[in-house]
Amino acid sequence: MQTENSEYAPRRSRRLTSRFVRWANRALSLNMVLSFLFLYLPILILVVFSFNDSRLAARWEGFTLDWYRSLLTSRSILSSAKNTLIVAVTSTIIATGLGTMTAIAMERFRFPFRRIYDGLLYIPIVTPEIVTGVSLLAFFSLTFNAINSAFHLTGDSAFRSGLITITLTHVAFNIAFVSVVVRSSLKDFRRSLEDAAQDLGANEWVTFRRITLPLIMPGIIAGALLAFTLSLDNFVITYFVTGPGATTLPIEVFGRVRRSISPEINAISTIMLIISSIFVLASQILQRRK
Amino acid sequence: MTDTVVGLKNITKQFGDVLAVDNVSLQIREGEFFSLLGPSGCGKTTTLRMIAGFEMPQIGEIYIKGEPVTHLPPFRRNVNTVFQDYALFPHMTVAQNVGFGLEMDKLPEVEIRQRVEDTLRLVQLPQMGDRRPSHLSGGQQQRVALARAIVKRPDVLLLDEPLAALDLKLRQAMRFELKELQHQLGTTFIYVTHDQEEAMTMSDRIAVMNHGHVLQIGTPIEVYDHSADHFVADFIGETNFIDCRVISCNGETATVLIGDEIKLEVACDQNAAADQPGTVVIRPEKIDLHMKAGNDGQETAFVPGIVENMVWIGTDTRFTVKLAGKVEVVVRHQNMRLGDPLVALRRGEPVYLSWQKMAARLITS
Repeated sequence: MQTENSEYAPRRSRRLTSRFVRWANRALSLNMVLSFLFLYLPILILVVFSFNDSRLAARWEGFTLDWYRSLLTSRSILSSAKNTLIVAVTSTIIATGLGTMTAIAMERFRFPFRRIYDGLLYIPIVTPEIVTGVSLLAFFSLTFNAINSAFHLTGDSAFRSGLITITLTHVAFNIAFVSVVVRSSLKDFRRSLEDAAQDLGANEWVTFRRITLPLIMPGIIAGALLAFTLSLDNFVITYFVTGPGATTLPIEVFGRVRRSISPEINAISTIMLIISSIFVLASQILQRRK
Repeated sequence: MTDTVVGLKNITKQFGDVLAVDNVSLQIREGEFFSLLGPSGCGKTTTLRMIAGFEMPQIGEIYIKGEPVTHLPPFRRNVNTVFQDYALFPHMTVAQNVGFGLEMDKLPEVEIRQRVEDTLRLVQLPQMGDRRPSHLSGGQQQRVALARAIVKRPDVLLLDEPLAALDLKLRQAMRFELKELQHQLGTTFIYVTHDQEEAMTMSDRIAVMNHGHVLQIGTPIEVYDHSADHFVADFIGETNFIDCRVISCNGETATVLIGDEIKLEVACDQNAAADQPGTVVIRPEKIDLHMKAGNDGQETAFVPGIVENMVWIGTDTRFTVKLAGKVEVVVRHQNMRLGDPLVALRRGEPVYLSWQKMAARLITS
């Protein structure tokens, strides 16, 4: 009797367990599908409607490339695209140089309060953009007011916000991102390689140029790609430090959306999405391939 | 002292609170194979890194070919290093790796190509120049590291445990190759290892180190047969340490008492005071086993004992023999003859031990 019972009991519980597991699995699968829909459906709709042959964004009327064509003839779109590229390229080059040097200094040298600097480097990454934007706006206006009144600068000769302030701002937040990425590639770097180069007659500079730099180059390029992408689509911080005539693409898009969501917006958003995706993907691949 | 190629004079190196190398002096002779031997953390690698120029000593001077180089950076010293992890440049081919040092010397490209080719042939890696280091086996990478270090024909070649990462068979084969290569090149080798067998088989002289000190410098035979102290005797090979009390000592031989009954005459390097405690050191293979007592004149008085344990290992048999006063002694008896009656001995049977007078030594430190 007892053996029958003890055989029976686990069997029922096993059946219950398996039923529960099956339900749980289904629920989790469903949850995953819904999550991905929630994440990507709006983007998908945006991309699809950028090819929609209708001014009204509500209904599918047929395929067209008209909206992409009209982007190419829009003076404001072209000029803001040019501004965006100028800012992105300039700020990426400067931030990559400074960020790489910061990363090397942090990784190689022992100096007082190194841990505190270490923490300070990460803070710009987690600071709310609105805080960064407001603080930089205040900083620039205070500085420019002081300079302009000290040197009696007015009109065109006065310092004011514009592409240069945007570029400086993008450099500022990108240094942190670049140095974090470069540091991770320096962590895997074997110091004995530098010892070996010096042992064979290379001085410090030749060692850096011939051994260290080529080996951390994937990390530097990954950092640069990330910086370029972040600069390309930054809106919040840029909005605070921009000035007359210095409109970037995200700001142009925001200005147009306030009037109405037109198919051109969908088209420009699709292009930005594709460019950003390519750059982030390339950055990820470079970071993984060590 | 014209034949001294590397000289270390009272070198001391401290890392934070840790004294890595403590007042070390060495004279390494032109063309010799010199090993720094010791357990990990004994300061041997730090000593090598100071000769290479990767570390600077706080106190002391380093000379290479008579010139003081203590504070010169590595790229201004005519020494080259084979690193433990090989440190091959992963983004360069084998030929570019080997040619790097010559390129730094700004030699003409034709000469570089020729010397790289010759050196790769010397380390038995011809036709490998175009490969990347990552496409080579561990043993091949080791040879590339060696080629890269010898191609500049340095005054001294420094080797930091170069065989440690290889498997046993390859390691043993490489010992002979390294020794052969050193013979061919005539270059001074300074070799760091924790493997006493490696040091014994390859070196002309060995410096045994522990806790930042050099305990003994000598040929492998000197270090093995005349170990300076307890640590050296223990670190190199297998040894019996038998506690004793000194009865008398004249600086060459000493009479000691082991337990309460066994009175022995042993060799003695230093003077020891009567009644001082000491240790008698004797290697297991230097003890002869006998079934019966008897004296052939050359050896010490026969010491009786009881077989405590025995292990047959093929080439020899390892006995543990218990002497009077619970003193245990390990004996390695070579299995030279078939049907040796000693090998048929069983636990608890009586035996007699003897050895050459000078084989047992008194150590008081």
